[in-house]
Amino acid sequence: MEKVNSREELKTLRQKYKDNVIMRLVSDNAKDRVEIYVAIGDCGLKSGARDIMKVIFDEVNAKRLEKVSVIAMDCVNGCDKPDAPKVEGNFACGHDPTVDVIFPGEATPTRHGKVNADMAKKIVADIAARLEGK
Amino acid sequence: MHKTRLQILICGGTGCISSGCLEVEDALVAALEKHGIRDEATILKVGCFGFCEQGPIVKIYPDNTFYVRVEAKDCEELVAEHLMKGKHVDRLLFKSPITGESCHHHMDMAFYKTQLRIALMHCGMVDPENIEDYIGVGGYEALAMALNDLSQQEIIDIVKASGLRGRGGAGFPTGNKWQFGLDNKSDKKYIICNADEGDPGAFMDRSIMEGDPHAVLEAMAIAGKAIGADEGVVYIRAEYPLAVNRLRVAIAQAEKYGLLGDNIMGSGFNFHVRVNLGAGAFVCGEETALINSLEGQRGEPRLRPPFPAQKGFWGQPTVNCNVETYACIPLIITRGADWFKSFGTEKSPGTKVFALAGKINNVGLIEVPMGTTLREVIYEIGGGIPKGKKFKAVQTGGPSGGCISEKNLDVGVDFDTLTAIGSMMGSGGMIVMDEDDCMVNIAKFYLEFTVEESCGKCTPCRVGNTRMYEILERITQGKGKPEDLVELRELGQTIKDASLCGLGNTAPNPVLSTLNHFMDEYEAHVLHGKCPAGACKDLVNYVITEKCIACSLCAKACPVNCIHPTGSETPNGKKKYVIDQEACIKCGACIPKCPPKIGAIVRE
Ligand SMILES: Cc1cc2nc3c(=O)[nH]c(=O)nc-3n(C[C@H](O)[C@H](O)[C@H](O)COP(=O)(O)O)c2cc1C
Ligand code: SF4
Ligand code: SF4
Ligand code: SF4
Ligand code: FES
Repeated sequence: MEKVNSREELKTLRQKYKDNVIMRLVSDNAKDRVEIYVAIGDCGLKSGARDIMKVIFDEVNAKRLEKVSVIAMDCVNGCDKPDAPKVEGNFACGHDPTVDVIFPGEATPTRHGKVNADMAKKIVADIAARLEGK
Repeated sequence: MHKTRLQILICGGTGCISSGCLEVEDALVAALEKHGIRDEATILKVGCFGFCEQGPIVKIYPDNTFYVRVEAKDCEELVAEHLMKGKHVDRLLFKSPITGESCHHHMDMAFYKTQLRIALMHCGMVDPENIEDYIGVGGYEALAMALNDLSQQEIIDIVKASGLRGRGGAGFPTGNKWQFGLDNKSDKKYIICNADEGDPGAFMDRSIMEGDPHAVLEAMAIAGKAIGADEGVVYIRAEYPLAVNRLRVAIAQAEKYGLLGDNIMGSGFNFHVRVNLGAGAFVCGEETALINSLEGQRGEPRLRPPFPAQKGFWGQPTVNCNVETYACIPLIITRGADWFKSFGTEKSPGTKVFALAGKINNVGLIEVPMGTTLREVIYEIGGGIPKGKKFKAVQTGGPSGGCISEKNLDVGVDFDTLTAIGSMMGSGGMIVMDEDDCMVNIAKFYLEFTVEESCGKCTPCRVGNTRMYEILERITQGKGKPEDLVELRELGQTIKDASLCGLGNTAPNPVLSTLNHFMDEYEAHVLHGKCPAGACKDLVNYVITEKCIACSLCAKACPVNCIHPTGSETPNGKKKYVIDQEACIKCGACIPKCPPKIGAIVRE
């Protein structure tokens, strides 16, 4: 248990404990965050999307991308939903693992299909670069 | 950065505990373990989300999915579908009472859309039993500023400039109160937090203390610095065990971290807080009665002046504020007076927390900017009146307040507008009434409460309110006289003027405001012996009309067996049923039993 002896020490503690709450702070203000959706529904699961989700989550964490949320979603264009709305780069079933990226204010996500570990890392790196560019 | 991919928040407020959130927590842990993903989720028990009626609430981050009425048996599906496969469990999502659609995100819910949270900003968001969460969202920074950057006068000037007014009912400017506390010189001064919250149905302060106790403690320490007090007391009712416990945990943690106690953050400033349990009498919420009670005397109001800021606890200068008032302070210090003033109305800046209840679809705890109209609160956030019934009135201010009718629904609520239309802000109760509520009966209900809670010290309150109550009782029994209405008004005014404390001063308000807005209902009782809402049992009769087909369904439902086949004959020779008026207890159970096509039973 740390005893706070000055306001600088409080600041240090705040930096440390921000990690506890940053997910909640950023999610509650969702219109300002970048969302990465990984389809882990039935087809995604079979194609190893959970592992890809883990790679993405670890990358986001390692890069400390605070305003990026990694969210699981159901199959997007799955065999059971032929009427699913078309988005840019809409793939047929069989393109899992599927990863959608949506930046604040964008109406439709950018979709990536057949994502492997390297591509996953690249997706996160691109997001980081785009965030820095801003 | 994130320790786990998911953070699952379970509401651990009093409301959700009574609806079973602790079992939900156990079941959730078991399901996560079974699916081998226990390490993917952090489970946190937080304070009230304000949607207690729909509890237990489970909120999933970062998905922002808001599940309602979650039971232990739902947890397996929740984990197997949502957490394992990303599929929302539709049946546990909240359905809009207007469109019937599922709300996938908590921001889609009309209940939350128009709300603005300042006092409740971290309630339902931080883990109240873990000071780390509060520090992580910027907690105790306001205290650090008060101790390092600001003089006593500068702190008070910020509070004054913010325009913050006391949320405990009277709306007195908080900065001015602190100024009196500073200006009255003494070696020993005290800070009190009034957490008595005695209004029937109110749970604003309880929720703040359960959900974000550190905000209140931090603010008390800031007030201590501002006026030069080194001791604080939270006066809280013993019926709030969870809030008491969370406060105690929070005090112990803050002391361990050196954020309360001696030499706070190395500044040389000392501030100790303790919790004092009150016996729960309504009048003990009145600040001078509260101070008497703290000193071990009878909880009776003292004459003011002297005000507590002059001669309060143990005769020393004492600043007493309400829980919600304190909860606004840390953000006012860190974000500034202008930020706070950018919300609300000119004379009542900021927000107000209300406990929305009664005949309303979304019952719960809400916080809105001052100036939000009653119509927005009732129809947007509250989702309107259930079962397509007609709105009749909204009661604000609890037993001190009044009833507001349809014609004032577009008034923006703040301290002054509510007073202008004959009601009161009070501590923030808001009870909606529909066509089935009798306004005379409602006025009687509130008066009964104050008569019971009057401490009896002064005659106008003790005798006068009892007298008013007796008159109302007569009216609801059909024995009222036209003169009674005049006497009610006169008595009410006398009690208001002559009582010693706020309990007596405001007790007649529910009667006076209903007399003003719903005179027709009083007249119906007194002149015609009728209760238009059909709520006063002595004025209603249940009768079976000629339409009866003698099916006997009503007779079987009657709990006192007072419906008998003793009437005229139906076309096929059976005896129609008749209600024995002497024996009938007017429970109304028979009405829904009569087949809708027949509809033979009527309430007159
Ligand atoms: C009968 C009666 C009951 C009261 N109950 C409460 C209460 O439960 N909580 C509260 O904060 N103030 C209550 N008050 C108001 C207090 O006397 C006092 O004005 C208030 O605590 C001051 O804090 P504030 O300026 O932050 O509102 C009550 C007043 C009366 C007359
Ligand atoms: S007004 Fe009523 S509650 Fe207040 S002191 Fe008089 S008797 Fe007691
Ligand atoms: S109102 Fe109740 S007591 Fe009276 S007749 Fe109907 S069921 Fe019986
Ligand atoms: S339920 Fe209706 S129709 Fe049947 S016996 Fe009663 S009053 Fe008559
Ligand atoms: S106690 Fe759970 S939402 Fe209020």
